[in-house]
Amino acid sequence: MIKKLQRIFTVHLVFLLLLSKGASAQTIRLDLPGTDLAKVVTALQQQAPSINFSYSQESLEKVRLDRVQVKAGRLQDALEILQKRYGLHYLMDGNNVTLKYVPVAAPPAPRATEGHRIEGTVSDENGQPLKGATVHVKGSGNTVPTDENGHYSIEAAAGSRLEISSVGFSTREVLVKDGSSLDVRLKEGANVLNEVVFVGYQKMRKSDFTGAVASVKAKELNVSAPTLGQALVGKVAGVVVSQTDGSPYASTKIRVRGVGSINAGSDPLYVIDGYPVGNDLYINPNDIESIDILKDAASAAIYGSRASGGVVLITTKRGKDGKGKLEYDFQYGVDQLAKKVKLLNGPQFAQLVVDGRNDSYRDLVQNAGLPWNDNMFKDDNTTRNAKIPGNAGSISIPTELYDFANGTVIPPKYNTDWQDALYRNAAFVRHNLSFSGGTKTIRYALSGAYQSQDGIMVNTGQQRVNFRANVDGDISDKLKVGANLSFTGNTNQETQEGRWDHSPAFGALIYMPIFPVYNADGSLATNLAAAQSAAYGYQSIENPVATAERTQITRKGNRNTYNAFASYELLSHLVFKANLGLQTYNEQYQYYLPSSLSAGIYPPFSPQAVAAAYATSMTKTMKDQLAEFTLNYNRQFGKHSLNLLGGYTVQKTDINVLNVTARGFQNDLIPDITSGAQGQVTVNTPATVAAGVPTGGAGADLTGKSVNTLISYLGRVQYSYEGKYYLTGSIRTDGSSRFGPDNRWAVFPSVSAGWNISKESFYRGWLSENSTLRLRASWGLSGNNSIGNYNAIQTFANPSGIPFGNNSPSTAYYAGNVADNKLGWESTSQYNFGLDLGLFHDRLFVIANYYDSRTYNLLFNNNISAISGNTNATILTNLRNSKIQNKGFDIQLDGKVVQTHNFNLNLSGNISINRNKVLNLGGASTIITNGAERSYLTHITEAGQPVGMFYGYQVGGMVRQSDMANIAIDDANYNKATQSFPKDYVLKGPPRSTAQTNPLRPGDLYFKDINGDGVVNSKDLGIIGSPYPKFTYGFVLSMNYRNIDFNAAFTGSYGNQVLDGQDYYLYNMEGSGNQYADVVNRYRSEAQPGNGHVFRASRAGTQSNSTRLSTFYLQDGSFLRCTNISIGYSLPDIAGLHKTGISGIRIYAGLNNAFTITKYKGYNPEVDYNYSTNSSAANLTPGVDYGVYPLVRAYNMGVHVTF
Amino acid sequence: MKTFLDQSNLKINTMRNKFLQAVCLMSILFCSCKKSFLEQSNPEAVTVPQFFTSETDVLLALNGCYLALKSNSCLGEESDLYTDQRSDDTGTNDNQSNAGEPFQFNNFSILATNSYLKSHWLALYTTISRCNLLLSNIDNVTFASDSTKQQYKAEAKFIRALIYFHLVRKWGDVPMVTQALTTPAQVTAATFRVKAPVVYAQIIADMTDAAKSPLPIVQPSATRGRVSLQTANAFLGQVYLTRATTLNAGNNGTDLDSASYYLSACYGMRNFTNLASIPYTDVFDVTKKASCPELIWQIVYLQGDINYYSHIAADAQAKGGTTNSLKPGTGVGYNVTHDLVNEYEMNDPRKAFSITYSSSPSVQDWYISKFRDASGAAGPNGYGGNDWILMRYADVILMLAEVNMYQGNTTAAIQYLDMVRTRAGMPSYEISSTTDASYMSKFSTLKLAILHERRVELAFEHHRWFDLLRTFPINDLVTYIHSKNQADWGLAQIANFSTKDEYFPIPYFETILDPVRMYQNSGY
Repeated sequence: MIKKLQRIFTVHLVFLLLLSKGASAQTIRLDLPGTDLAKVVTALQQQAPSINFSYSQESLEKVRLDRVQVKAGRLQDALEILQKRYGLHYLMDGNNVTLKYVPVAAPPAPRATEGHRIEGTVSDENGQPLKGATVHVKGSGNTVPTDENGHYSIEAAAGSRLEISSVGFSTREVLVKDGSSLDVRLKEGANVLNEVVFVGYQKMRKSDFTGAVASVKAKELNVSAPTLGQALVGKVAGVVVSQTDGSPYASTKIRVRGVGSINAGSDPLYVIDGYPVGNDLYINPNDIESIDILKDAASAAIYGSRASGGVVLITTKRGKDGKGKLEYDFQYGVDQLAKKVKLLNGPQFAQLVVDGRNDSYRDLVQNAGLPWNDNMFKDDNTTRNAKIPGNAGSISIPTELYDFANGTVIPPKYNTDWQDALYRNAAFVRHNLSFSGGTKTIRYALSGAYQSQDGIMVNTGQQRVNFRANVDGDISDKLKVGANLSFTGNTNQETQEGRWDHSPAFGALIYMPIFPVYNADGSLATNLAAAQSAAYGYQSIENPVATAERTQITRKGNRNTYNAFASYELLSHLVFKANLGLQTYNEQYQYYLPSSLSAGIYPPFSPQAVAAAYATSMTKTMKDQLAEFTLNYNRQFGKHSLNLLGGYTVQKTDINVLNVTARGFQNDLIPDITSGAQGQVTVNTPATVAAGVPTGGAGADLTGKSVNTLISYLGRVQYSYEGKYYLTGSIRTDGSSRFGPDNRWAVFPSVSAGWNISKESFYRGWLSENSTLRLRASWGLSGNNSIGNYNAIQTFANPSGIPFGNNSPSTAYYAGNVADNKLGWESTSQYNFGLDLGLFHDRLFVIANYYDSRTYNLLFNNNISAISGNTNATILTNLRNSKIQNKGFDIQLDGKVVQTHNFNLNLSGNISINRNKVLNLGGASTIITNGAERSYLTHITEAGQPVGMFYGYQVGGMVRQSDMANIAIDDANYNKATQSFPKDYVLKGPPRSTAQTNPLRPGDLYFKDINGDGVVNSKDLGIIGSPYPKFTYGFVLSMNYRNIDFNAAFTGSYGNQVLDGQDYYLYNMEGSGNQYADVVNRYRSEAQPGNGHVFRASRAGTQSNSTRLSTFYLQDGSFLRCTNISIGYSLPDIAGLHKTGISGIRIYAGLNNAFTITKYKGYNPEVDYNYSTNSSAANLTPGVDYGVYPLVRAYNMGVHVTF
Repeated sequence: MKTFLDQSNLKINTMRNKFLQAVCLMSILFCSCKKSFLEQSNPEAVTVPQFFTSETDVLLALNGCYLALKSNSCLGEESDLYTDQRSDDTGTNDNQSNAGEPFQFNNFSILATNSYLKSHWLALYTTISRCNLLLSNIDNVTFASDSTKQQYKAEAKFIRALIYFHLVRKWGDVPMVTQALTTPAQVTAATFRVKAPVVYAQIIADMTDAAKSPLPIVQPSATRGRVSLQTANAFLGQVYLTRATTLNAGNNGTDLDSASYYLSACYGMRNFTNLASIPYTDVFDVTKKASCPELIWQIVYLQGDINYYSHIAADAQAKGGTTNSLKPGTGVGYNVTHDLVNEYEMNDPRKAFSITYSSSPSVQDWYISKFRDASGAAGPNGYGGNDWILMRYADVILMLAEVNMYQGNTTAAIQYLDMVRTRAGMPSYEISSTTDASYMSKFSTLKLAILHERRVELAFEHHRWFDLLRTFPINDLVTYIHSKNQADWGLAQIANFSTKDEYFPIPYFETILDPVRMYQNSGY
C-alpha cells in the first residue's frame, strides 16, 4: 500500500489550444470531500471547458484525497494551490500543462535528521535544463519542482536518496553526499507513444496518430556512418534500407512496403523540414533530430500524388531557449574492403585456359566431322587454326602457358591478386561544429561540417561541406516566424560501374592473375590481356588499376535550401501558416577517357586509342520553388477534441542541363572539353547519342530544359473523444503538368481510426499491470507521378543529320513516340491494421502493422505495335484494370531489459514480411525483361506472381559418359529440320536444347524438359527463383554502464535469390578471364568429375547450352550483417574541465559493416544493379549484381566535446 | 518604457498587417496563374502540327525518312544479318557473341524472341511511320512550286513502298498502314496482318506514283542518295518480277510484262552506252561514288567524318588483311562461306576483288574485301567513305535477263547476261555453257546461269537471299540448300533449313499483342 502511494505517476493535461485569456481568467472553485484525482479533474473540466483532460483512469483510481478545497481567480492560481496543498505539481509549457501527483500525506516516515540544503540543476542528456522536473527526497514528504532554469533547492540529509523524475524521461535516483551541490541528468525514455512525430504539415503525439509511422530519433542513428541512409540501415520495421553500393558518394536504397510500380519510380518522397524536394543524399547526419517514415497510404495520402512509395520526413535540430551550447565532434576512420571475393590463382587460371581451349578444339573437330585422337591435344596453334578456321580464340593456347610438345601446363610467371592491387585502406575525417541556444523570443541552431572520405578504390573519394542555420522567433504570442538555410556541397571522385570494360570493380575480378600490375620500370602494365584477346580468346580488358587511375570522373554538387515560414493566430484557435521555399542545385560533371588506356584491343596511344579518347562535361542547374499556405483550427470541446487543417500548395521545378562531348584529343594534357578538336564538339541530345556520340558514362543527363509543376489542395480532420477514440480523415487534390490534359487532376482521400482500449474502464490490466493497448485501422489512397516530363504529347525529336552527295550532312527531323494524352496517375489503395502494446510499465513496447495494398492504373511502358513507329515499340500509358498487391506484416519490439541506475540494457528488433503479387496486368502481356548482360531474358512479370521473377531453365543435371549411348540412340531419331522427335518417341537420354550448337557431351549441364516434348526450347522456360526475401529483419542491442555505452546493430534478409550477372564471366568455365575459386571443382573427366555441379571447361562449346540463365546462375541471397558496433565513454564531470568551459566530453569508437554472414559468392548480397539503360525498368529486374563498387568496412574513432 | 513598448507593439501591428497583405497577395498570384501553370510544354521540342509549317520543314522531315533507312537495323551497310546471312554466301562461325542470337539467322534456328529480329522489324516500321507522317501532313503546307511538293511526295511514297517490299518478302502478310497514326487507339486498330497481295498492290501503287513523278531522272552529284526516276523504275520492275515469281505463279504474264517495261525504262535512262565501259572496280571506288553512272541509288557515308563514316571496309577486314582499310583487322573479318568461294569460275577477277584470304595464323580463312577504303583520308581508324549501293545497273541488266528468260526471250536474256559477263572479263554465256565443263555441270540451265551471275556479280550486296526466293519455290529451295556440302558452310547447320525459313517468325511481342490478327508464321 505504501509502495502504491509512493508511486509517482503522471497525469498529462494537454492544452491542445493556446491558453487564451478567457480560459485562464476564469474563477475556479473546488470543494471536494473524500475525492480522487478523477473527480478533481472532472471538476476542473467543468469550470474550464475549453481544456481537455486526459489521464490514466487506472492510476487515478488508486489515489484518495481527504478533502480538496480551492478557490482562485485564475486557472494558474488554482493549479498553484493544488500543487502546494495536495501535491498536484503542474508544469505549464506553451500549450501543454503537465501535472504530477506526489502524495503529501505520506505515512509517517523517519524524520530526516536536520538536513542541509541541496541545490542543483536537472538537465537532459544534452545538458539542456529541464523545468518542472520533480525532485523528491525518498522516504520523506519533501518534494519540489525545478524552475525555468532547471534549478531546484531542497532539504535533504547526507546519505538520503533523491528521486528525480520528469515526463518523457526515465526516473533516476541519486545519493546525497556531503556537498551542497548536486546536478542531475535525465535520460529520455518512457512510453514511445508520448513521442512527437511529424505526419505532414503538422506534428502530433504518436498516441494521437492513427496511421503507421516509423520513427527514428537522432540518438538511435549510427553517428559514425558517413551518410544518413547508412545510419538508418536495419532500424525501422516495414522499411528496407539497403546498402547496395560501397562507393563514398553512393546512397542507400529505401523501399517502403514493397514495390508497387513497374515503370514508375518506387523511391519514397523525401520531405526535409516540411520541404518536399527530393533526396539530399549528403545532408549532415549530425543535423538530424528525427526521421519519421509514413508507411501506410492513409498517412502518406496527405502528400497525394507523390506518396505511394511512402514518405520520409526528416526534421533537423532547432534551437531551444536557454544557455547557448557549442558542440564539436571530430571523427577519424579507416575504411577497407569488407570482403574479398575468392578467385582462381595464377596456376589454377592457366590450367583453366588450357582445358577450355583443348576441350573446344576437340569439340569443333568432331563437329566438323573430322577424325580426332587425343594426341591432337599437342597440335600447335597453326595446325589447330588450319583445321578449324574462324575460331582462333576458342582453340589457340598462349604459348607461354602450354608446352605443346608434352601437352602440359607451364606455370605462369605472375600470380597477381587484382583485388589487392585495386583496393586500399582509405582515410575518413569528419569535423562537425554546432551552436544552438536562444531566448524566449528567438532561438537558433547553427552547424557546419566538413567530411573527407577517400574511397577504397584508388582515385575515388568524396569531400563534403555542410552548413545549416535554423532560426525561430516569436514576434508576438500570435505571430511566429522562422527560417531554415542550408548548404550542402560535395566533390566526388567517381568511378564507373557495370561491365568490366569500364568498371574497375568488375575488372579486378575478371582480369587475369597471370599478368602483372606494373612493368619492371614501375609504370602500369597496360594492354596485356587485350593484345592477346583475339588470338587466345581473352576478354579485351584493360588493367583495372590503370582504368581506375586514368579515367577521370568528378562531380561537384552545390545544394542551397532557403525556407522561411510564418504563422499567425488569426482568431482564437485558428492559425494561418505560410511557408515559402527555394532550393537550388548546381552540378558539374566531368568525364575524361584518356588515350593512355587501351581502346578495345588497340594499345594506349595507338591511333584508335587517340580516337577513342573523349571528354564530357555536364552542367545541371535545378531551381525548385515552393509555396504552402495552411490554416489550422485546433480546439477542445469538453471531452471532444477537434483539429482541422486546410492547405494550398504550389511547387515548380526548373531543370536545365548542358551536356557537351569533345573528341579528337591529341594528348591527355588537358582532360577537358576545351581541348577537343575543332568540329568534334557535340552538344549531346538523345539524337546524338543514337548516332553514337559517347556521353561520359552513365552519370550524366542529356542537354535539355524542363519545367514540372504541381498544384495541390489538402485538408485533414482529426477528432478524438476522451483520449480513447480517434478518427482522422484527409483529402488531397493534386494537379501535375506531367500528365495528359484529360487526366491532370486526381484526388487522394484517407480515413483512419484509433481506439485506446487501455483507457476503457473495463480494461483492468488485462495483459499485465501497467500495460497500454491501442488498436488502429486505416485506409488511404496515394499516387505516383515518378515519370519523366512531357510524356503525354507527341513531339518531334532533336534534329539529327544525314549526308547526301559529298556535302556536309543535311539536317533531318523526325517525330518522337506516339503519346497517350490520357496519361494519368498511378494509384495505391492501402489498408492498414495496427496494434500498439506497452507491457510491464512500458518496459516492453510492441508496434505491429498488417497491411494490404493494391496499386492500379499502373504506369507502364506497354507494348504497342511497331507500326506506331515508337522507339522499342512501347508507349508510356496507364494499364487500366491492372493491379499489383503488396501485403505484409511488420513488427517492432523495444525492450528495456535492464534498467538500473548504473546499468541499462535495451534490445530492439524488427521483422518485415512483404508479399508482392501481380493480380492483373490489365491486358498487357506477360513482361519478359533482360536484366543482365545476356541477350537471353532474365526476368518475367506475369499475373499471379511477384514483379520481376527470375526466368529461365531448370538444370536437370550433368551429362556423364554413361549417358552417351542413350544420347546416340536419341540422335538417330531426331529430326534436325523440324527440331523434333517422332510422335510417341520416348527419350532415352537427357533432353537436348534446340538452340545448342554443340551436341551434349560429358560434363555439360542439361536442362529439364518441362513440357515433355523431348527437346529444351523456349517452351520450357519458366520461373526459376525469386529476388524477394521471405522476410527482412534488424535488431539493435544497446547498453550503458555508468559512463560507458555500447551499441550493436544488425540487419538481415532471408530467403531471396540473387542473379549474379558477373557469373556470365566469372562462372562460365571459359578461361576468357579469371573466375570464382569454385571453378576448380569443375568436371574434368570421368576420373575427375568435380563436385557434380560445375560444368566442364570450354571456350566455345557449351555457351548456348549451359550459360543461358538457369538455376545454375542463381545464388542464395540470404544474409546477416552486423552493420555497426560502437562503444563510447563520457568523461566524468571533472571540476577542471568546467573551468575551461567544457561541460562534457565523450569519446567513442565504431566499426561499420563489421561482418556479413552469407553464402553469396560476390561482394555483397544486397544487390540493386539496373542493367537496362532505361532506369524506369528497374523494378522489372530486381536482384541483379553486376560490377558494383564493393562495400566498405570502416573503423572509426571520435571525440565529442560540449561547451 | 511604456512608450517604447507601445511603439514596438505598433511596429508589430504594422508588421502583422503587412504580413497578411503579403499572404493575400501571394495567394491571389498563385491562384490566378493556375490554369497555364499546369500546362507545361517541352521547350526543346515542337508538336507535330507545329512542325509542318513550311516546305523546308517538309524537306527536313523527308531527310528524317532517309535517316531511318540508313540505320543498320534497317537497310544500312551492315544490315547483312537480315539478308545475306540467310543465304549461302556469308554467315558467322561464331555461335557465342551476344549469346548466339545473330548465329540463329544463318543456323536457321531463329526464334520469335530474337532481339535482332525485333530490331529489324522496328526499324522498318519506324521508316514507314515517318513517311506516313510526312504524307499525312504535306498537303497542309503551301509550296512555291507544286513540282517540289510532288517530288517530296514521290520520295516518301517510294521509301514507304521499298520498306513494304522488304517486309512482304521477309514475313509474308504484314500490318499495313499508309497514314499517320497519332493515338494509341489508332495504332491498336491497325495492328493486324494484311494479306501479301494487298501489300504488293500498295507497293506498286506507291512506286508507280514515284515513277510518274517530276523527280529527276538521275540525281546530280550534290544530292546523290535521294531517289530518282531511275530508282523508281528499277525497283518497280523488281517488285513486278518478284511478284511474278513468288506470288502469281501460273498467272504471271502481266507482271512479267510490267517488270520488263519498267526495267527497260530504267535501262533507257542510263548515262552510259555499254556497261563494259565502266570498270567493275569503279563501282566500288570511293573517289567515283558520286560520278559513276552505273550507280542508281545509294546510302551516303562521309569519308573521315567521325559521325558519318562508313564502317564496312574496316569491319570486314580480317587480321593480317590490308586490302580494305588502314585500320588493322583484329579478328576473322566478315565471313565468306566456302560454298561461295567454290562458286566463282576460274579466273573471275570479281573473286579476287570481292574476297581475300588471310593467312594470319589465327584466321586462315576468307574475308569480304569488296568494300574498300584504304586511303589516308579514311585513316587508321577506318573512317571509310564507301556508299552503300542499293541499286545499280548490273542488277537491272541481270533482272532484264531474268525477265526475258521467264518470258521465253532466250536470246535477249543471254544478251543481257553477257553484258555483265563481258564487263567482268568473263567469256560469253555461249562459250562457257558449251566449253567449260565445270560451268556446264553447275549451271545447267540459263536460269541457274543467271542466278550464278547475280551471285558473283552482286555478292554481299544483300541480294542473294531474295534471288534464291525468286528462283526457287520454297520446297525446291529446301532441296537446293540441303544439297550443299556442310563442310563448305561452317558451323551453322544446313540440316536445320526447312520450309519455315521462307519467312521469318513474326516478332514475339507483336504476336502477343493480338494472337489472332497477328498470327504467327507456320513452323515457329
